[in-house]
Amino acid sequence: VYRYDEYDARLVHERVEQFRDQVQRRLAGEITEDEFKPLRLQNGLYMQLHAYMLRVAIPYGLLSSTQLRMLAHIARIYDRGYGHFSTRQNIQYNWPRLVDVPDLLADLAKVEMHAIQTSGNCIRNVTSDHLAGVARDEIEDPRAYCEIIRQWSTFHPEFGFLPRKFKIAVTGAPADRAAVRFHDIGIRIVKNAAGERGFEIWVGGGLGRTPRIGQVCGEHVPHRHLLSYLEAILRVYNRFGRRDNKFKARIKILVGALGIDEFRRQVEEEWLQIRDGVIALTDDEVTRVASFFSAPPYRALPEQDARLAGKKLSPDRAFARWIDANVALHKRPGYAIVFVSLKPHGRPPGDISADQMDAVAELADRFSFGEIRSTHDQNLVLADVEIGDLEAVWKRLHELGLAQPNIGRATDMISCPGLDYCSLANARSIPVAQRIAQRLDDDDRLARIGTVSIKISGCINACGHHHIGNLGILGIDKDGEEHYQLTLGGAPGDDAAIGKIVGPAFSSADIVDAVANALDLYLEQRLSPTERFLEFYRRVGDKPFKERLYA
Amino acid sequence: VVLWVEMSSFVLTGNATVDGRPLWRDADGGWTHDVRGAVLFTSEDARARALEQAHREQAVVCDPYFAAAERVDGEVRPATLKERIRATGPTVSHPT
Repeated sequence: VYRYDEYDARLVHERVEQFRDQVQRRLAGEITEDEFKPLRLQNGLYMQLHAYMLRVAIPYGLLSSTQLRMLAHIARIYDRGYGHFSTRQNIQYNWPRLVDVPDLLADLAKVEMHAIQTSGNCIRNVTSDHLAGVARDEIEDPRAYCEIIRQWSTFHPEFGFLPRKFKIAVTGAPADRAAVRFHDIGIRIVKNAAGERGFEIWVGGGLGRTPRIGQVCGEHVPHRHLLSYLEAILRVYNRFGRRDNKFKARIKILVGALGIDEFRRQVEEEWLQIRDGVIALTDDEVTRVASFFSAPPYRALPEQDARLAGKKLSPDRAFARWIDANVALHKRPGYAIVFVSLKPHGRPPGDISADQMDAVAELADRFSFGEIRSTHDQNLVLADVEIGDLEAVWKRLHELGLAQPNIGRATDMISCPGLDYCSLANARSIPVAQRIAQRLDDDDRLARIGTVSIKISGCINACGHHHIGNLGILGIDKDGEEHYQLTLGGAPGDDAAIGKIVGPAFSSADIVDAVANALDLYLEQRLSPTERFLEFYRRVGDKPFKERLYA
Repeated sequence: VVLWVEMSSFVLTGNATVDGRPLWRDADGGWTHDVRGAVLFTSEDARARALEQAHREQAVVCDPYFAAAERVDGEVRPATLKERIRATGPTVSHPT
């Protein structure tokens, strides 16, 4: 985990004290809500239906156990005993009182955390592959570059008032687990034909009311020019992005209007002027930052892939199912990656109690070098667990209600907070997720269905990423009643696709049947168990689904 | 005509500055956290005056606005699902 230097610490401390003063002035009536709103948003504080909501940044999803314990403390002292992990690897608290927020932020600062860059029209908290540093397919650990981008973007004087919010994701592996094609800028570490590493820079991706798959702007940007290339993109966007229309203000609209070739030409014209300036990265600086993410002191263990595979046949079926669904191969012999499911059936996706946070921190200390990752799928990861410790970890997670064997499966749903909390929503999301999970509450059936994603948004802003769910659900208001559009075929990764609406929206009562019927159709007609839902859909198209769902 | 009268009644609401909890204007000119104690506004003049006054109370309430509401079985009830959820809280439970 990156550790603050004196500049980081001072910046965050000063920001807390500034905000404390601003809150006092707001409570005293010295400043209006219109004057206060941009100030609170710059500190991650929103107003939702029932209360303020504070979004705390978890840079690239990486947490120490000390930080997770502080998040638990904050849930207990300042909120209602729980937190909600978001689709951008952050955590949200739904019930903080304004009067308490300065003390809350001061507590966060004690563990080198804050709520900066989690709101407003700035460069938001950078996200990454939740398997960074432990994935077998990785070309290079992306976290050093994530941290360099974080330092460059935090309080960047040019980019504090962009036309609209701006999201960056970085991955160092060929398999895209960070949805880089759906970010304003997506960065992939790649090798060229000569074997040299560089950055493939995607621009103009995004979800919301105008979903777009990004396009490649820079094919192989050298390491030393990463920041200057990003700065050139931001400058073109900052100059020409639409400030006159909030709904056309994201970079995807500018890229679409100019065309990728003209956009690239403008970026590279700007880049030529700044590429060798003060933000050129030196090897020493990259090495210095990378040292914070060096491998933990692994034990020398024999390769045990077969032993891990054997655990899937354990006579304890609950343990075997968990190994099969929630444990992944690690690059280091004798170690495994454990997913902590925050999707127990019937519970709000992404929610976790303070006691559960403390317990996961304890597990991380005992079994995973004191580190935890959050995923954009709203789960947690213990990235470095010895294979011999898996049963002990499972038993504890099982006691905690965090061992639902469903990672990557139908009930591992992404859901936005929806109309239960969000002032923008048109329909509820969480209750739909809960009813689907209850309907599919059969671990063996879930295993038969296999890899499939269901993503639910309560409005067109698409915080639940419904466009890129294999099955996507969008809540709409139809004559005052909640209805749900179903889309099929979306995918976030290397086979990126935006889902297609299958037909007329379903009532709240009928949407669960529609999902179950779509999965039944797949089970009945797939070529074999190795044909995944998405592959099946791409092979057969909409027609059989329309016939089944609207019969 | 009855429908028109019902759709033309509103509650004045906003969120409390101190903690964000929903507030509704009550019959005494104060604020209540219970929508059942809200006063219904039916005339445009009264609404304009009430909103102007609410904007002067920003230390207490944020972003006041009118939401359609009606009286059902003697109790004030917001007209939309969003406002009803806002009045009664999330329909899902928290982890414990």
